[in-house]
This record gives sequence, C-alpha cells and structure tokens, in this order.
Amino acid sequence: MRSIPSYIFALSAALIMLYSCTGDPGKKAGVTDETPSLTPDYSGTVIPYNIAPMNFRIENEGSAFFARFQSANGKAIGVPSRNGNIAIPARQWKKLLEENKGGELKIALFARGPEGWTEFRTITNTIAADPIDPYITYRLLYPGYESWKEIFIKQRNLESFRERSIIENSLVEENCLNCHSYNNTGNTESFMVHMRGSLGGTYFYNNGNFLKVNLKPEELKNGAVYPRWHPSGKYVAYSSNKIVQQFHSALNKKVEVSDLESSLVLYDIDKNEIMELDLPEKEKYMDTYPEWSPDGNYLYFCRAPAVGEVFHYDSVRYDLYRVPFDQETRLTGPVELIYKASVINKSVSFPRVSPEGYNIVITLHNYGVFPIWHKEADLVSIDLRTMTATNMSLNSDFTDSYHSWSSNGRWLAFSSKRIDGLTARFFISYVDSDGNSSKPFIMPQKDPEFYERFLKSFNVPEFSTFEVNVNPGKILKSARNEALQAKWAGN
Amino acid sequence: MGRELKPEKELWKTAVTLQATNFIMKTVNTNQTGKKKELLAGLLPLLIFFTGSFIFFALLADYIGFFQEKQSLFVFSGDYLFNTIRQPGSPLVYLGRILTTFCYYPVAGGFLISLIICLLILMISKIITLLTGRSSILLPLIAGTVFLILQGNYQYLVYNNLGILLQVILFYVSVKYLKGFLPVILFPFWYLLTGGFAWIFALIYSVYLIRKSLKQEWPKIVILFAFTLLFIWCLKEFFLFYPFLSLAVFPLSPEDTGSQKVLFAVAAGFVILLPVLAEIRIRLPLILRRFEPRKMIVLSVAAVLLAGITAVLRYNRVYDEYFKAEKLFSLGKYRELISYTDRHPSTNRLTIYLNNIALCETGNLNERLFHYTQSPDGLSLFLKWEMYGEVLRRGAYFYYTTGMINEAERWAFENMVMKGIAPEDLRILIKSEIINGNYAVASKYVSMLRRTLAYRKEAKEYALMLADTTLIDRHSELGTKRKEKIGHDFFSITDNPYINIEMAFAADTFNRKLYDYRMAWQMLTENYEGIASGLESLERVGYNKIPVHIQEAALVSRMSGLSLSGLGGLTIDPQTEARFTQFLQTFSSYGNNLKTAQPALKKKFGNTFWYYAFYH
Repeated sequence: MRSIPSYIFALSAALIMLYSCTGDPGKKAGVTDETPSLTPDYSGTVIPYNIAPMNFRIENEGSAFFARFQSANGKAIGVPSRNGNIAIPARQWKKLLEENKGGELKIALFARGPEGWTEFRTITNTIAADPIDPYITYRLLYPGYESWKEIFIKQRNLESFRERSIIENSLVEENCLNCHSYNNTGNTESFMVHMRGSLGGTYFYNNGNFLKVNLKPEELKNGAVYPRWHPSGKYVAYSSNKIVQQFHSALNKKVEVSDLESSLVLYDIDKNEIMELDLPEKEKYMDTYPEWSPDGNYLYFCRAPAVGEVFHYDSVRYDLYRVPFDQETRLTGPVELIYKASVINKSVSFPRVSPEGYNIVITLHNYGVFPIWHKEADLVSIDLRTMTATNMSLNSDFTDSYHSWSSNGRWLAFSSKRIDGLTARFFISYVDSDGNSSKPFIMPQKDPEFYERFLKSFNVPEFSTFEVNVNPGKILKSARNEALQAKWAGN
Repeated sequence: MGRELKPEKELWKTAVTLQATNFIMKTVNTNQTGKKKELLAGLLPLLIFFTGSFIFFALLADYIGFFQEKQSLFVFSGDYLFNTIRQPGSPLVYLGRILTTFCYYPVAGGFLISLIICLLILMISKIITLLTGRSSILLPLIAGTVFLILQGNYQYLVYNNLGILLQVILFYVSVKYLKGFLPVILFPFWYLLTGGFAWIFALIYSVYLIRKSLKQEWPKIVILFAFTLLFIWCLKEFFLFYPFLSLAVFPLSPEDTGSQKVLFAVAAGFVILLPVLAEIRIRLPLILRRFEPRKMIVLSVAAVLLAGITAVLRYNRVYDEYFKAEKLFSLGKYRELISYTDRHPSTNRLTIYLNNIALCETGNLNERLFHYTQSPDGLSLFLKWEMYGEVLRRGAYFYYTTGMINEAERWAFENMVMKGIAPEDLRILIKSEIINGNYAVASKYVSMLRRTLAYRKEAKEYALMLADTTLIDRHSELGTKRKEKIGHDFFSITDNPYINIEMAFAADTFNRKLYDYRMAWQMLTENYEGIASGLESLERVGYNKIPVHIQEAALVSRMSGLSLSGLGGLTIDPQTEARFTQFLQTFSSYGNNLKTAQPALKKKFGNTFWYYAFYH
C-alpha cells in the first residue's frame, strides 16, 4: 500500500512536469522572423491604458506557448500556455499599462516545437495616454431578420470583463427593445430606450426610475424611432419613420431596410411635448438620423428626396445636412448641406460629431438608409473645419457601421462584421486630434475563443463614463403602468 | 484431570460451534434464497413492464423520441450549459435534454424513457414499503401506467417524468436518511435544481409530516413553504427579476406536457398523496397470496396488461407515419420516403409536403404528384409563413430544394431565433452558408454541430469541406445545390411562396426544380393557360419526355381550346391520349354524373390529374 508521502511526491512530480511543459523558454529559444498569428488580432494597434486584459490565442503550431509582455517601466508579465490561449493576469496587466502611458507594449511570443522553443517577431502596440470611457452599453441579439426572442441591453466595463444586463426582454413579455440613447452621450446615467409590443412605449431612465412615455400623439403620422439626446438634456431629437423591411433572395446581403417616409421630431422632456421640426420644404424630403453638435446649437441629419409609392430601393441616397437650433425657442434655421454623398453614388447614415466638435464620422454606403447589411459600408470622417471627407483607415472589406465617440473624443467604437460577415462585433480605434484612426482592436473578452462561438451580434455601442445603476427588473414595474402621453406641440 | 479433560471439552465446544455454524449457514442460505425469490417476485412484474415500455418507445412509438430529439440540439459545451441554466429548474431541463439527445438512437431513447418510468415505479414501491413496512407492486404499477400514458404523448418532454422521479427519490431519501430540519433547509437548493417540480416534493413531504404528527411537525411545513417563497421573492427582486409566478413554476408548462393538464395533475396528485395512498391495500384473493408463484404470475400478467393496453391506446398511427416520413426526409433518403408513403398512404399535409420535395429531388414531382392527396391551396407544395407553429421549422425545405437558398436560410434562422437551436435548422444553416460561400459563419455552426452526440460525423464532413473548399463543388448534395442556386435577386414575398417561384423562374429559366414546382402549382390551381404556356419551357429545363401529369394537364388544356404548340419537339404519349379517352368514356358511361362516376374513376384514374381536377 502506498503511503501518503508517496502520493505527495507523485503529485509534486506531476506538477513539475506540467510546469516544465509550459514554462518560460528563457534564453534558449531560437528566433524566427515569422509574425505570430493571433486571434483576435491585437498586433500593431493603439490601446488605452485602462483596457481589460487583451487575451488572445496563438494560432501557430506548437506543443507549448509563452507570451511575455514588456514595457519600458515596470515588471514584465510572463504567461505560459499549453493550448495557445494567453490569459493575462489582470492586476499585472493594469499596473504595466498604467506605468507606461504613452509608451510601447512589446509582446514577445514563443512556441515550442520538436526542436525546442522559437521566438516569433515581437509585436509592438502603443499604449495611449488617453483613457477610454470605462463603460460601453449595447444591444445583444441574433443578427436575424424580423423575429426576436432574446434581446438584452447590457453594459460592459471595459476595464474588466464585467458585463451586466440593464434590460432583458424576457422580463417584459419578450417585447422588442431598441435604440437606446444616453443623455449627454455618457456623461450622465440618464438614458432612454424604445420597447415595441404589448408593453410598448419609450422608457426614460432618470434618478433610479423609468418613466414610460407614448411619443406618438394622433397628430404624429409615424412613430418616433432613431433618437439623439440634446447635450442640454432638455430635448431628444427623433426621426419619425415609416420603415419597410425586405429580404434579398439571392444577394449575400440578406435584409434591406428602407424608409418610405421620415421626418424629424423633437421631444421636450420637461414639458412632455413632441413637435415636428419645421424644416423648409420638408415634405419633399425624407430626413432621418438626427445628431447634435456638442454645443447643442446645430442639428445634423441625413436627407434624401422623398420616394413615391414605387421606387428603386437602390437608387435612394442620403446626404448630410445640418440646421442651426435655438435652444430657447426650439426653432431651427436654414438648412445647410454638409456632405453630398449622392454625387459619388453613395449614401450617408449615422452621423456622429466628435465631442470636440471638429469632425463628424458618418457611415457611407452605396444606397439606402440602413447599412448594417451593406458589406461595402465604411466609416468616413469629415473635418468640419475644412469640410474634407476622409475614408478612415480602420475600415475593412465587410460592414463597418454604427459608431460612438468616447467622451474625450479619442476613441471610436464601431460595429464591424469583418470577422465572419454576419455577426457584428465591437472594434475600438484610437483617433488622434487630426482625425487619423489607428488599427482597430476587437473589444477584449476573457475567453479568446469567445467570438468564434458566439452567435449573437453586438450592436448600437454607446460609451459612458458611468455605470448605470439599474437592474433588469426595474423596467418591469414601469412597463405595467399606463404610458404618459406626450402632447403635440406646434412650432 | 482437569488438564486431561480439557481437550475433550475443547472438542465438544468445537463440535457445538461447527453445528451452530452449519445451522446458521443453512438458515442464512434459506433466508437468502427466500429473499432472492422475494426480490424476483417484486422485480419480475417491473421487468415485464419495462420490457413492454421499451418495446413501445424503442420500436412501436419511436416517433416520440424522434420528435423530442429534433426539438432542440444538445451541445456538449460550456456555452450551452451556461445558456441553458439561467433560472431555477433549468438544470432539470438541461438534464432532460442530455437524455433526449440519446433519442436519436431509438433503442437508447426507448431504454432511457422506460428506465425513468420503471425507476418511478420502483421508488414508489420502496416508499410504500418504507411507510407501511409491507411490499407493494400493484399500486406502483398503476402509477407507472399513468406516467407511461403521459409519456405516450409525443409533446410530453422527457424532463417531466424525470422531474417527478427526482422528487420521489428526494422524498425517499428525506424520510429514510435526512433527519430533523435538513430536508427543509435543503429544499431551496432543490428548488434551484428542479424548479416548479420541487413543489411536488414540498407537498408530498408536507402530507407525510401531517400524517406523522401535525401537532409536532407543523413548523417544518410552515418554514418549508415560507422560506422557499421568500427565497423565490429574493430571486425575483434582486437576482433574476423574472415574474414571481414564472420563477415558481418553471419548467412546468402546458406546452411541454403535451397539454395533458388533467392527466398530469392526476399523476402529480398521486405522488403528492402517496403517504395516504400507501395505506391502501389492494388485496389479492387468498389463494393467490398463499402461493407466491401465482401471485407473481398475476402481477406479471397485470404488468403485461397495463403496459400493453397503454401502448396500444397511446400509439398513434398518424404521428408514427408522419414522423417516420420526416425521419427518412431528414436522412435524405428520398426514394425510401416515397416508397414508405406509397406503402402508408397519408392525407397529412406535412407528410405530402415532404413527399413532394422527395419527388422533386428525385425528378418525379410531375410524374407522381397526383398519386398522393394534394392540397388545392398549394399547402402540400409549400408552407405559408407562420411564426409560432411547427410550420416555420419545416418551411425552409421547399426553398432549399428549389435553389432559393437565402430564403431557406432565413426560415431556419428565424426558427432558431424563436425556438432555440434545433438540429435540422443548424444543418440548413450550415448547408446554406457553405453554398453561399460564407465559410466563416459556416465554420461557427459546424463547430457547434461537432459538439453533439449524433451529428459529429456529419460535422466532420462539413469541416473537411471548409478546410478544402474545392470539395464543395464535388459534393453530391452541396455541389448540386450550388449549381441550382438562383442567381437573380428579388425581394422574397414571405406570404406567397408561389410568387417567389415565379420571380425566381423568370430569371433562372433553366432551373428544373423551380419549373417542376411552378407546373405543379399550375395544375393544383387548374390554371390551364399557365400550363399551356409552361410547356414551352420543358425542353429548356432538360426534359426529353413530358412528365405524365403535365401530359394529362396538357390534354385538358387542349380540350379547353388552348394551343400545345409550346411542346416543340416533344409529343404526348399515345398511351396517355388513350387513357384520357378512356377517362372521358368512363365518365360518360355514368351519364356525366360526377358523383356516380367517382368510384369507377377513382379505381382506374385515381392517380391522374384528371381525377384531381374533377374531385379535389
């Protein structure tokens, strides 16, 4: 019979052998010029110093792997791995990045083959001195067509892997949830969300409570859809759309969402009044996707000529316009063309002005108003000082669309389908003061294989500086109440 | 002397000891033999019942396991576990799905389903023995029969009987081993595992405590319910946020019990009242009780009868035939499916729908369409969009067959969104994405399929194709489908599949399957102008002989004054012409009376377009 010490010995030997299988290659490693293959690709990019550990998998062949993260200051981090999955210790990672703001992060990667350890070409990333907003809110759902079952609105802490639900539709009779928008784009915890279905209404969250509002008085022809909260917090601009969804039978883009009608409306929160924005000759156009300038004095929007009963969906193109807005009188001024995309046979959607107000990033695509399914959709930055448009270097061959600025204007999060062409993932890119974007990186996950398995799409990213203090059950109480009817107001 | 006597005494003692040992050994052997017999007497009826149940679920009504396995795809992965276990009771659902995945193999499925039922019988028997000190098998067999009846409904999911079994086991363990307040303390955790089913335990245990001594045991009952209700309230308010009722009852639902509310209530009520019902003695006649072998025979016969009668009563030929057809379809055995439908004629719309696809896939749609009962509204050709029923799950097949791959994928995807991942949806999604060249998405689906019990082999085949995409064009099914995929884009009309055929065929005029369905629809709707104009496409889609039903319809078109010039170089078979003449003569011989002519026309021409046109 074996004694207990013999078991301890055997266990110790096994642990030593295990360590020796995955241990530090030390200085024995041979060197290759080969660039290591990483999933996700976290090489040659700019990262915020407060980002969560950017775990990845080494795709190269090997029986054991090792990653060493090193910067000018602080202690290097060594991560051994047997299967190539590199899980970076969070505390050491945080310390290393904070001590090296504005510096470089060198990642040395090793793989052990039959002839011993080999070191790949070192990866160098830049650690930006500008932090990223610590939270991002998004909608999680299947990249489907017209049906839905599970929809979540979640908030993720970008400094860790903590993710929590704000709203889950399974708690509200599986109603559809869409279009969340923050007051003052993430500088307060007030936000709104639409719910469609039996508990339908627009829900405004403020001071720990939801208020359910019916934004469609009889006078308003179509419901309020795409929102944008005025920086003052007093108003929310919406587009009021009549939308049709159609399904391509042969093209690789599966869904086409078109507007049959659209106009801009303004909701005055304090007065509970909704009114149509009285833009000149508005009946001749379809206006949608409102966006405020940071000072709240301009309202940007996308505009296309109104379509008749019969129209070719692929000939409808939107241009970018703006109007001055008087915050006291709620009146708008003359319409100003900002970017005429239609002259180059392109269409504009999702205008987003940077917090500094110098440039505006739009999604540019071949036609229509809903670029989510448009493979060619790219982000374009327009310098509002020079009115020059630049195709951003962060784009890919697949859909790059809905985007959001961080509060300091240095980080741009956007949805991209570049991984598989179907499911949207968030990518984050550093944008310098000249509007140049860095190679984007995918929002880090604890499990580097997460995105390869996950079938749902992340969409409508919105940065925020606050953790929203709301649990998913909170909306249920408000959902059962009668909606507060918004009053129709003339201009 | 004393010293001399000692050996004798020792010998005597040894002899006595030996004798005693022998006696004890004999007694033990006799007791063991008796116990074995008793055990056998108790188990034999159970084994017989198990055999009957196994034959039913594995052979006769294997459609039950087939249906349930196809409802949801069990994936052996952490993600699947994490996504499934989200509220109290979902671990039970997860466990049920593990067992259900074995139903892909009818023998394994039949074995597991029967095992659950027989374990229920065994545990009920043991509880009766524990509570009354006497053995009982007849009452448990009757209870088992109720569970067998319940499970005989194909929509009664496996986790239901499993959930009840777990309550019965916990009750037995609680009474026998857990003392004091331990069952009460453990109950909230038990509720987390088995959800709404845990109330069955709470009630049975309460009944037991009431019978034991209400005066002494009432605090346990009060605490059991109060503590658990408080626990659920806390879950609702602070952790899960689901409505209270939903938290309290999940996963109990009318849908997943096959809407057998009354019968399920009877079964649950029986279990709950077990401490009372255990006192009921079903006394066999004295003559049987005296002679153990006779008692055993009677109980065995009872087991045979209970299992047998239940099996006969619960067997549903319509479901059996439909699901057998669907199974053959799912395996891509189209010729076997047609042959099966020939042997088991059906009027079930879904069976005919699948059979029509099989006919189309084998190039026989318009050769044999009217050999089967067709639906004049076209619903045996293609299904109309319906979000909540069973239609969505099967509607994709028609689009897949006719090369409208995007639409096939959409139906499968929408079904996945609405009802969770099911094996057939995932297969359609994989095939569609491979055909469309979306390999990254296909890989994602394939990696999921690889982590299943029954579809691993198929997943490997797809993985090979994705690793070497040149294999796709050489693949017998996917290569063909890729060639047949429609190239012209239009917006699909969800509510009207026929318009989709028209729009697809307007551009893909060489697509023979689209043509076949188009002509089939024209015939079902007796659109003679459409039939006549469709003739001109026959040669273009590759026909060098006109399909029989199209010949039949063409003759009627000609009779209606329409030109058959579209036939081009093709000719109508003289035999068809002769048969048409016979058809008209037979009809005429009955005085052109539709009603009186029907039996004769059905006998001779029941599988023709002409008969359909007269009598649909």
